[in-house]
Amino acid sequence: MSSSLSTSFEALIAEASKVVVDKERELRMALTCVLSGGHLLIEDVPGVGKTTLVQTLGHLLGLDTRRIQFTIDLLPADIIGTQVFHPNENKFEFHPGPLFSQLVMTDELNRASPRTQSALLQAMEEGEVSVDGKTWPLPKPFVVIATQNPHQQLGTFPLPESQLDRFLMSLDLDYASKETEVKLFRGEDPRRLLGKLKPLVSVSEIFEFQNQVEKVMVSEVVANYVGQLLRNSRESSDEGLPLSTRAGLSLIKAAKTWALLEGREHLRPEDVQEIFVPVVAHRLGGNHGLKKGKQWAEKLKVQTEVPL
Amino acid sequence: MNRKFYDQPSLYLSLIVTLALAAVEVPFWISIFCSLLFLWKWLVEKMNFGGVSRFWTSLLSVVLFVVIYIQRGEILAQIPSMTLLMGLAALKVMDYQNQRDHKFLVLFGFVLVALKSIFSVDLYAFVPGLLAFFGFWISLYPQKTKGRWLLISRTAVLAFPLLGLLFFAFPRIVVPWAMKRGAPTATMGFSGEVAPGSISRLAQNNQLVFRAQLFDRVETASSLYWRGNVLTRSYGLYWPFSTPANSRVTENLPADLLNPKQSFEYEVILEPGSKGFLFTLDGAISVSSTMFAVEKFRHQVYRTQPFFRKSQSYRARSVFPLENVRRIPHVLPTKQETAVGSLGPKSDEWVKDIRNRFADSKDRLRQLETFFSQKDFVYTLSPGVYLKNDLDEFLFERRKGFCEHFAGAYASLARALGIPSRVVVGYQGGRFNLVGNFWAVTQRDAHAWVEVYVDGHWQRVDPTEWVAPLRLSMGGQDFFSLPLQEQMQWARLKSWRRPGESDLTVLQALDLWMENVNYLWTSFILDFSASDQRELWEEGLKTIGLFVLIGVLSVVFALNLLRQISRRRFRKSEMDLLTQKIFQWGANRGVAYLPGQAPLSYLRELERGFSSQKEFFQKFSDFYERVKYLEEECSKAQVKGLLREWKQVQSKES
Repeated sequence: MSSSLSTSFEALIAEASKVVVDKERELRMALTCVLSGGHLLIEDVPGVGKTTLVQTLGHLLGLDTRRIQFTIDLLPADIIGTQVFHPNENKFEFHPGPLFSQLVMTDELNRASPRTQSALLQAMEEGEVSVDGKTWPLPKPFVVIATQNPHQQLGTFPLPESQLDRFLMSLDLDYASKETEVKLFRGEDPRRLLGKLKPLVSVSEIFEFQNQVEKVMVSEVVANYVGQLLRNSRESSDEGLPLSTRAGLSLIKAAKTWALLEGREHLRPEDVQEIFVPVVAHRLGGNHGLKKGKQWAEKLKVQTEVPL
Repeated sequence: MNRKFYDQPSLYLSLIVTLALAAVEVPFWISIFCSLLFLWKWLVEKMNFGGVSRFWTSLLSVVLFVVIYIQRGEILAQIPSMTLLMGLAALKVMDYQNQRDHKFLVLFGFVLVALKSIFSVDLYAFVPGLLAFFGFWISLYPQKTKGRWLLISRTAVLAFPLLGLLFFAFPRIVVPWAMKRGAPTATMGFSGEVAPGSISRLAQNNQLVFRAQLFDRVETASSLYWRGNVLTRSYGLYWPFSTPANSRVTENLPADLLNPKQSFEYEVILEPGSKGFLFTLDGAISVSSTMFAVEKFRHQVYRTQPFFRKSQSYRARSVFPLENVRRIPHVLPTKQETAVGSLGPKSDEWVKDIRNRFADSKDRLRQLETFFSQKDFVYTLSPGVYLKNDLDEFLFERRKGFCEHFAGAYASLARALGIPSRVVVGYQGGRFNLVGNFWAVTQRDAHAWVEVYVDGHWQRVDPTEWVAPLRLSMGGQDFFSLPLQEQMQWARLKSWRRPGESDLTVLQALDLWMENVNYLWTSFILDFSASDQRELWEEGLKTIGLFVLIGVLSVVFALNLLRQISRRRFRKSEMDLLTQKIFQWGANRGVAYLPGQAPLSYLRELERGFSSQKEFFQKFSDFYERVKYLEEECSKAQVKGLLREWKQVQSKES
């Protein structure tokens, strides 16, 4: 039951790496997250290639991509859509907002007011939108990739822990290497390739893949390992917030996707370890920030013994 | 990582308990020193008081060492060593900052608790000591560790079978310092003489003197006369202390007196601080102890060396009933023992009158009884001051007295009437513990009475019986806890109903119960000597019961041990054992198994590191993955096959 997607995964990565230089690992994680049907949070300073990464993913996966820039005065209706009155027909018609796309990139999520943030996060959780008592399903797949600035920056509204938990993974893109930057400055901008990218997979393939992810086998040993990771996080409460059961389920889900992308139909503890830091860093870190959360996650990973 | 002393409740509470326990052993200034340092630390942590500079800590340590140097001559260096430990612990509290300091304090605490339990093992010190011990232990775990209580209690429970085995089977080593220490606090107590006020002073104190268990015999408080010392020299009210001569007479006891039907046995456990008097009931024919040598004196007085730090027990045997007591051979009273001087004008006149009117000594005694019971004598703890031989004042004017006055006066008058008599001092009655079935005798039960020589044998006469019968039937402890008014009012009442179990209030029952626990602790744990142990084993050889007991204990112990081991090892499958072996092999050869590393990735490292065994490692990895992550059934034969291959790999290597 080998997925056609897992065979084309390496090709996807290779293609994407042409545009998003130097970020292979992040690309893998982002793809894993999107293919798991989870939402991704990218936290970093402006100008390190967050937008490029999202656009590349959208192009390659053949997803309808929309970008929303969050500002402090953005209202929920601006992203969800509004009822507009049509005098001729004498009725209201719903005009869907930019949220109605398969891949939504919300830039600077923590610049918007908490009200708008929570409207988005509710849509992420439920996969549908309610306006004036009527429910509108969002397209499938529906993936949000949110970027946010580090908390220290002025004019930000930090997300509460409960909302952070809705993101499957979090990533931080570091500055590009010196060589890459030099190339960039001399005019070799890889972004010009963006327009030439062709979708390598279809939406139906993604659905098929997700069906197969469900079937990946989780042995007792691995389940125990994940359980132990959660328990350890709860016992050392001065090193990060305790991990919820949802965090555990997310770990399993992401690890399954990772395993299937590797062409395996069962989980290894290694799979959990691979996706562990991106999946739990923002949950452990809470409002201490992603950097701290990553450190704690690394520590937790090292301190938890893998059962034989 | 900075720690605060007062954020560690289990540590500071345990430390305070331990220091309080140890403070009893050392001069009081060291307790003050420690309290001050504790207070200082509290001010530093809670009130942001200035800390202590190195200079001050150094100065304090120097002072401490100087004082210890001054004390160096003490017996077995116990006081200086306790002082040193307490002082160091308190100084360490001052600069408590990190985990290392914490561990130091716990170490001091452990040593202090251990020292304390070597020197003094009574229940009231042992229980807090044990609690403090567990407190220190708990404090070693970080405060948020879950299940630390469970872990510690499990270990404690596991320790019990071992404790029992050691207690019953490990040879008892007699530790000299546990017994031979002088007890400076125990000079109060039974002095064995009768001077006006000496016993009433004693009776104002309700300190426990001894506990006694009568085997197969029920007695009432009023019939229990615990004889301590017999006094023969008389100065009226004052009967000075004298040691009776050693009993050199080899007594030919009538053989039938030793018959268990004619005599009964009882065990007495003396509290620490005894002066060596061994209290026995009337008609004592033998006293023996496994702990000390018993000396026998005339008049059935038994003594041993004074001063015990620890409580000691002995067994005695007395004959009954009274006819048998009379059959015990005794020495006849000597002249010196019956001599009496002038008693005072009024007393002499009274004696002369009786002597003239009655010739028979029994009649004379009856007159004495009438005198004491019909004149309005008052029995009281505070009769006022009498001169040492002021009989006239007591008998004819004030007529207020305590048992020593009545006994002294009675015996003096009896002697003047020509009847040999002696004063016996000891304890009378006691309080019966319903829960533990033993008698607890306190200083309140101190008593003096008389023995007169009539009809060729000594008879007990207690003049107090005519003046205050209630004191005797009630027992000193209950009588003297009555209000003074009621003591005076009811002293002449004869009957008093001892409260039964149902009459007890909760507090009284609790008191009896605690007292009983303490008794069991003393008689079974503290007094379990090397000879008891030997006896137990020798008896045990005869009776199979002990072996069954020990067998059960060992089985429980072994099962516990097995369970403990199985948790670690036996429950693991052979597959896991093989994996462990391989990983150990790798680790021994320098391929570190990193913390948090997954087994397969380690196997891959082994594969890379030992390319000659690559084939095996690949095979094993594959097998491991199938068994563990695909949960395929694996047969024992497969594992054994792998084990064989693994052994080949190893042999190839060597």
